[in-house]
Amino acid sequence: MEAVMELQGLRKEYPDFTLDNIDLTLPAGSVMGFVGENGAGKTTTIKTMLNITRRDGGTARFFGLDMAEHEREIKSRLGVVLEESLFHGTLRAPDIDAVMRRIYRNWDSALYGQYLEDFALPGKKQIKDYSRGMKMKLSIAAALAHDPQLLVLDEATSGLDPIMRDEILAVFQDFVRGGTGRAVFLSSHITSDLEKIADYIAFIHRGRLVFCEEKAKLEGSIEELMLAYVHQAQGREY
Amino acid sequence: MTGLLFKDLLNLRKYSKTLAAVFLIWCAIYIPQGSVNFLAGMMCILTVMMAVGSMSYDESAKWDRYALAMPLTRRDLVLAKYLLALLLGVGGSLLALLIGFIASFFIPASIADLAMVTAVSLLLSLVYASIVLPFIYKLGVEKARLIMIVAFLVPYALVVGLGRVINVDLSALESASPTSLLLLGAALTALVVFISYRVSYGIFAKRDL
Repeated sequence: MEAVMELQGLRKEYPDFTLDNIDLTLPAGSVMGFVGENGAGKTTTIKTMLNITRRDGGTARFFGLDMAEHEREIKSRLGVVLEESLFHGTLRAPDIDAVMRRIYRNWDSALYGQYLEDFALPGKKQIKDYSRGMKMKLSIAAALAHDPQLLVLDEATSGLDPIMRDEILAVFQDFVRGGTGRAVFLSSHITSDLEKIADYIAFIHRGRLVFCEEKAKLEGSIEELMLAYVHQAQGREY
Repeated sequence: MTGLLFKDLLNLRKYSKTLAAVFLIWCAIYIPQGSVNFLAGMMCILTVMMAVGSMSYDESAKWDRYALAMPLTRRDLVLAKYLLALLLGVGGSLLALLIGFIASFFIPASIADLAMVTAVSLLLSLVYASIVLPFIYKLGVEKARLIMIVAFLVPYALVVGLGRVINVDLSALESASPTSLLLLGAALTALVVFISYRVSYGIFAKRDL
């Protein structure tokens, strides 16, 4: 199956943390859950593979193209939701439409409007007055409205209530099924969400990839495997 | 690029309403005194400064990180800020000229003088923005505040201080025509803006977001 995303030896060094040689392959038509405890390196991996943070080694390829050479082309085909970054608080949802249609060639204002309606996001309210869940939903609407091929989501379901989480997960599943060659890369520490929708699970711990495996082949739940590994690792270290 | 400029203009809507109120109060104070030129100068400076204000909004939203996940490059982000400063400065200048023109019907005012003062103010404002922007890219808006205050003196220091240090007789400039001096100033400003843009981009390109 064709790979939508391939990371090879991705490396990023900070004085107190190193993301160490991350290798990941995300096949088309699948959802990959990227799990790990807080501070394990999930956000650093996403920022590094997207060139938001400079990398110290490795390559990131999307749709067969190298990020170092085809950054703009690749990013026009990505829908990205980042945990802490969003639109400015003084803007309103219709303003986002006005800005994004000038940034994305494929921006679909009607589709964006449909998502706003589906997610019950008020157009008259300033974003700063949105709840955390509403901000996340707005981000997801903006990530989906330009017909991306790959969704990259950093903790996109955190801050949402269980019912809304379920609805959002269904949106992600519909997205993957809605077209050929699509995929979702979803980082989360809520393992129950990943149990529901992920086809592959990648587990990162202290900047190192512990495993990347088909979920169906895992022996035990994601949480059990994570805890078993962490306890074992701590046993070795202490 | 237009998306970035549009985003900034939308963000500055509220700020521009406050600024409009300030301008109105100034008009009420300075026009009866005949100080139209002073008014024009201040309007240029404040409108260019709005570009700096927009960076403060970007910082609090962590916008740059988000923008770089879109089909935008670091070069686009930096260039858009310089274009915004230019756009706002030109807009402020045109507004100042319009106000001066209207005021000239009620008070004695030379439109030629006003145009010259406005043009010089625009150039000095752009020089000021060019000094400040690289520091903001390096330090962030909050930490660069002191630099912003000190930088107000730089355009003055460049003209007077440098002239004394390298012992240039500035009185020679008095014999030159105002138009040629303005053109020389515009060329120097363009150079300063270009160098500043390159420095800002160099800083921003190396930053982890």
